Amino acid sequence: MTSLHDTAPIAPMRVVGQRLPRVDAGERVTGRAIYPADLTRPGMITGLIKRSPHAHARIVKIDATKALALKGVIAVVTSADFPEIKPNTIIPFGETGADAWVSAVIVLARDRVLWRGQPVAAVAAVDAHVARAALDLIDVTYEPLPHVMSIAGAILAGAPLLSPDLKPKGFDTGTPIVRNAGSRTLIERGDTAAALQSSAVVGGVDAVIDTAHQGYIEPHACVAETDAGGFVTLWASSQGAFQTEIQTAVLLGLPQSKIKVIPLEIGGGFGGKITVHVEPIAARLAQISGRPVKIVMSREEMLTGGSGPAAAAQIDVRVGADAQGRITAIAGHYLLDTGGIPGTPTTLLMQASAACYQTPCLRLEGIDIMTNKPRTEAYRGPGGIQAAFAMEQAIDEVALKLNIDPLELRRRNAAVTGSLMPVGTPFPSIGLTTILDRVAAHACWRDPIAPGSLPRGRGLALGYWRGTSMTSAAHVTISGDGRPMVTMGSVDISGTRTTMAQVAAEEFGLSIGDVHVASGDTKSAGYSDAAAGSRVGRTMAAAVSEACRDALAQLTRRAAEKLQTTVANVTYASGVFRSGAAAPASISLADLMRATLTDGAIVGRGVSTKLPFGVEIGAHVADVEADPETGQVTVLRYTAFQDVGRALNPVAVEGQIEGSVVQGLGWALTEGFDYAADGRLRNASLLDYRMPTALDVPPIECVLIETPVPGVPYGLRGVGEMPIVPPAATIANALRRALGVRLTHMPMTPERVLAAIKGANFGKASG
Amino acid sequence: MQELAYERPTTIAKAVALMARDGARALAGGSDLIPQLREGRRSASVIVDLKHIPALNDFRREPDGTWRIGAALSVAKLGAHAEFAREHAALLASARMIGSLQIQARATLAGNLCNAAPSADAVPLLIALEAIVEIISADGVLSRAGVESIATGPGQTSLVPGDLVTTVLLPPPEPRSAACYLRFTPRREMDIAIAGSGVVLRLDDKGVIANAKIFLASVAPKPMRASTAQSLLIGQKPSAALFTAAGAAAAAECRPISDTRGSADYRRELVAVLTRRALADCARQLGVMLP
Repeated sequence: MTSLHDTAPIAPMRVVGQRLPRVDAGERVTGRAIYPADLTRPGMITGLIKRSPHAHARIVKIDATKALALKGVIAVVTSADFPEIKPNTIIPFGETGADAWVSAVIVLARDRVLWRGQPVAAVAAVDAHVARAALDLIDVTYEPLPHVMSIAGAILAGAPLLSPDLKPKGFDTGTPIVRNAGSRTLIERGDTAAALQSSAVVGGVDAVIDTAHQGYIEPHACVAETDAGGFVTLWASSQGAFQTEIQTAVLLGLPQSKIKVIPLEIGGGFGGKITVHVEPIAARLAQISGRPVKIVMSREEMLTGGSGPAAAAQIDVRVGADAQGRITAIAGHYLLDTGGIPGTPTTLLMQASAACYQTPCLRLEGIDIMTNKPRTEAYRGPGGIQAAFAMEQAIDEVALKLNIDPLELRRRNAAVTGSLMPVGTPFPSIGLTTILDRVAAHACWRDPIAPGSLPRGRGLALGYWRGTSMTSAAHVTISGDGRPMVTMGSVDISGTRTTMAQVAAEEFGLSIGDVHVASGDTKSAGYSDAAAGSRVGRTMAAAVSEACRDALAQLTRRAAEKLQTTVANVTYASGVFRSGAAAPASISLADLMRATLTDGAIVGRGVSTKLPFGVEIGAHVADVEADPETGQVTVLRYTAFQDVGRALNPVAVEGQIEGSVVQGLGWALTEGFDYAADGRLRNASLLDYRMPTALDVPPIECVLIETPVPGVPYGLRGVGEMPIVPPAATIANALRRALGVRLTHMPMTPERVLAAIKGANFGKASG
Repeated sequence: MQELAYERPTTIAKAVALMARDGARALAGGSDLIPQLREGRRSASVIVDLKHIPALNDFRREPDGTWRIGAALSVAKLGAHAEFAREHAALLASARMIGSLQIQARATLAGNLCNAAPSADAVPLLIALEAIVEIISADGVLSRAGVESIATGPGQTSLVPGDLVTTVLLPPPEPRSAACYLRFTPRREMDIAIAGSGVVLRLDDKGVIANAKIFLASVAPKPMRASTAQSLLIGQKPSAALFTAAGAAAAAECRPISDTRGSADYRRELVAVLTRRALADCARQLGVMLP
């Protein structure tokens, strides 16, 4: 039998690598797929959340007497209805564990509100109208506290201290503590300051990035129900059913034997649906009322404190180079807006921003800063686009100062297999130089920009994302007619049912229509980490292929008995077991199961843990046009090169790349939260928080490069996060070439572009 | 809890009677009203849906050349009439900036007008083209009013409770005239003008500007006439320099606010550019080579 983690040269396969439509496409496009908001349970009532009108305040008193007296109101909860969770209540979760206290504060404020829109109470009522009226009758007394709405404001000497008891981490003696810092991370090798001093040129960019939202189309929603024995069932739309279960169980003080999470369809997550928001509230309201409770957030709630947006940032980068364009030093200072609760990590994003380059000296310093915004949550390659926006523009500045082609500059400094990663260990197999060769040979780089009446320019930026692996589980059983049925512990946010059906079909030598793949609930599937970090495709493929091979080994033993030979003499291909040449005989998988189903179930088991990382690297090229009188930017052409290891399903991979690029372009050009001085979000709708429409997005050409990862089934790499990393820098570099000015404030709205062209300050507008 | 009645009359008389009720609101396309009700920005106790009244779906030319456009006629249907599309291409183009294709399948000119948004895309040219509306009051009296008089401020109109706008009357364009509306939005659709400029330009036999009308969107509490810019143009021969000066004059006289969509300074920049470009487009339509 071949090793599970074989990395033989890419061999042609029957189903893996095919361009196949999603198995759930029909259900989705006809509107029949069930999301939590679609679900109705007998006797179900409506839950709504009362939110803080203050950016920062002490909660003096919450009085629900009047609300409870309203006809049709069934239950009201506040944080007093939940056990108090202390900081540093670490629960098993992903690579490092998570602090359940953070989830608790996000779900319902206790004593203090830290951002506008933070939940303070919730009501369950017979319908949404009564529930809304009841919210107004919950009387909350606040004592407002001073607030701060930006990194720049939060680090000032006189800024209000948002967490006075917190001792910031990572500030060694002699390093002055930054005000409102959560923790500091330093990655350093060599004397970067001296190297910059003696460099022939230094390219520098000081970037400011506004808060943005992941923009998933489905707002947070769930349905909770209890049975007579107190068992809680939660229908959820989250990136991980097990993560939703453990957070909810801990917040409610329930043993996990008393709660089950059933994942329904999810309308996007992008990192924002890992932390629970509504689930513990719905569950508690269901426990108190004894009735099923549905909570569906409105779009406005989602944007204004009901969910965790992506981090604003202030990033200063300096890149030194010698006269030949060899990088001598990279220095980066990364301040990340963590919102009202400290702990947003900086280490991966700052490493990612420098990862594509070899440099003798490196100094990366990252600090998360508290502000009175919603607690930041992950967004597709968290922090990657912000960091690349600064770094890739600084690299472009070096190219301009040395008058070297920006692709050539990157070639001279490109990381290669075995060169040092920022963290100081050698790179595993990477194909960056191959990618750069492909860019150089492609028409998007080779051909001149098509002429036009407005200024045009071409930009290039690289992207890197490490991704993660963690753990995934699957099991496969075989039906009485020989059809494999796979149950995964992961939810399907990216076409996982389709790609895993391809894997199972490949392993069994069957067609995709002969296998069934489903996401299990938390009581029917094995523990799997959340669908995040570009991990599900790779690690679930490992688990599913292992489970299939386990099942096939069991089936082979049965086939040997039926064929009256030894296991070693049995081969399996395309649904048929055959005995050796000495006494040729065969039995199909279907006949074998018909004959032996009642001898006992076949259960194949697969668990993948800590698979080698499938680092993602890519290069993006864009041609843009800018109207110098209005600041309007048009992206004319966009090409994304990416090493995907091996494309399980090229349509799905291209979909991931296109979706990432669109999200990146949105943040690059129009998406940014606009906070008023009082902490109010001024653009809390999808009218004024401008995500791109189909008309705003250029055709995106995807160029897939396949450098397999050793030790990973089929050599798969992560694909979904990296392509959001380069777009903003790509556009900024193109605009620099078109207009001669550097755009350092993201999003690069038309107003900001025009202000940069005119060297003018238009006064307070969007940010 | 707010109770809301929905009525679907099939005659103007029934609609007028319903409009006399307290808290009655007419629904033409509903593309503004429904979101406003949902978000609590407007209130209503009776919604009077006009779409099922045949007379309010009228779209025809009167003997004098005036177009009669029913208050319930969707923007999408405006484009279906080839003669109208040719004669009022600029107005049609401005109406086709409203929302998106889906929105335009519901949205109406009368609704765009009565919603009284300062950013209403179809209104600057409706005013500049001297459109008139027919109004039936709660006691059944028919009156006519110039479109310019309808909006009085953001979301505010000169209509009194019970008034029902039934028809938009649009005269044919004057000879040797051209119209153009340009707006600026960061997105290409599903967006609202940060600034807009609607221009109607008429030349005399000698190629001198006999009349110029400029109405600006999103830079005042209601669509705003750029009077200084207009008078700068009238009596002059079209030229690039003249149009630039008119744009600058419009920018100077508009009264924008700063909000999340844009600063006042940026809006002025846009008004100058959009007005100049709209004037140049009119000149191009009239076959004038600009010196």
